[in-house]
Amino acid sequence: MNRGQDHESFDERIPGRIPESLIDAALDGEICDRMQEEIAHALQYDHERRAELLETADAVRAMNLDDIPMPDMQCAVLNRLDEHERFIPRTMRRWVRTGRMAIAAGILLGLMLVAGLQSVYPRLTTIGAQSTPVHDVATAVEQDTQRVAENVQSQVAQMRASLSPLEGLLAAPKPSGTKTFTLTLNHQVVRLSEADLAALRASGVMVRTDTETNRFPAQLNRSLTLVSYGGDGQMLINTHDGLRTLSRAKETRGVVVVTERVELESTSDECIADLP
Amino acid sequence: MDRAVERDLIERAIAGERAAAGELIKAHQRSVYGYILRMSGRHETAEDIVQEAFVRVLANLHRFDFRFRFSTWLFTIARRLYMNAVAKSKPAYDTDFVGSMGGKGTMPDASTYSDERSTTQKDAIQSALMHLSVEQREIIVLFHQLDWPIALIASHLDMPEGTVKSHLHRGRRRLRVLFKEHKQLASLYKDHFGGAFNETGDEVLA
Repeated sequence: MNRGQDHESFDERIPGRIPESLIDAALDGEICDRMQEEIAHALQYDHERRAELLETADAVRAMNLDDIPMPDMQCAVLNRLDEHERFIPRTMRRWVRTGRMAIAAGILLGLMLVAGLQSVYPRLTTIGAQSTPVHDVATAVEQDTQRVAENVQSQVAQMRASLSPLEGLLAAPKPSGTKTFTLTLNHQVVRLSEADLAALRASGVMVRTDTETNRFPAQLNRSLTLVSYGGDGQMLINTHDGLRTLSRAKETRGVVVVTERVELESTSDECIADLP
Repeated sequence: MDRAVERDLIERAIAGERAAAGELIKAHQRSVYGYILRMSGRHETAEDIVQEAFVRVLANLHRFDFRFRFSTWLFTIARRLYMNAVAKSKPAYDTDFVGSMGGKGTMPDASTYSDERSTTQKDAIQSALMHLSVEQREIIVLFHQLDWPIALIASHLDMPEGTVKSHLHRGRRRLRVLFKEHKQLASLYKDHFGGAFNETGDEVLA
């Protein structure tokens, strides 16, 4: 590795030898023609340095570019560039340029059209969320309310029709001193005597007292029906269609107070019978 | 290539003329290929890198600054690609195992290269070059093979001129000695194997 350096230090000590730095400068082309001639002359007497110089020249000559076998890369490079569409025919390039300009002009015209429409019809061209006018909401609410009112009205009418057998009972005063049952029917307190119960039964309303608790028919489907009455004041009343909903109620000082609503999954006799 | 001619070719290539780009490739491919081949020691690596360098340069020709030479730009890109390739393949050479496999990567180990290739007179110079340091090799190739002036080499390598000269002188001395040795080795092979010796020596080694 240090052979060159060793040579140099050795050479510099020998008198009459051409300094290696001078040879380097000559090889670098940094000395004038006159100096080069002097070195060439001196080399005739310095055989070792001459041999070194010849060897160096030999190595440099071996690096000649022309000796290197080289593939022609022209086609390969141009083909790769064609993949990037770097070189396309002039006519096609013109078409591409025209096409790009047409696209740009189209986009510009579109934007101008939108801008024009925006000024004339702001609502038409606004892409963002638009606020809903208040009068639309008011109309919608009004219509909904009307629909709900009609619905309620029809249900009330239906309920009234189902209560028609009791209408006479609501109006007639009840004799005092007899055993009565008090129910709140249609927001009115109704007192029922045993005769009233019999009349209700006669009109088709199914009424059961505590003695009949365990024998409820499945077809009990009238509204506001006393289902069961216990001796301790506990009673069951059916306030809706069928037996879907029963209310557990209690009679206190002649007034029936609903204490609990019972939602039933089925209308079978067993379910009813399970109720206390 | 004359500067005016070069400029004309570049402008025509920028305008999309394929033939002008072809002329530029033709004019510079030998020098840049020789440079990368001497640096890497492998034809396939040199071919890949030079192709890639040309593709990059020609694809970005519109960015070319006419104050500089086209060759300088091309060599800078080729050199960067080579350095990247060396950096990518370097870990493979850090292991003894891969090193002993005999250089499937971008840059072969100097001794491996020597074993495989130094048997021919033709490859003696390449083998000797591969034993130099990268800086010495590059500077010698640029100076002696491509005839670049010291100042241009210094600019290309981003190195002071004094350092370039120092690398050049030391490298040249080592190259002289190594080249002599490799030539002698090649002669020995030739004498020993006689008719079995072919141009590349690969058959003998196999």
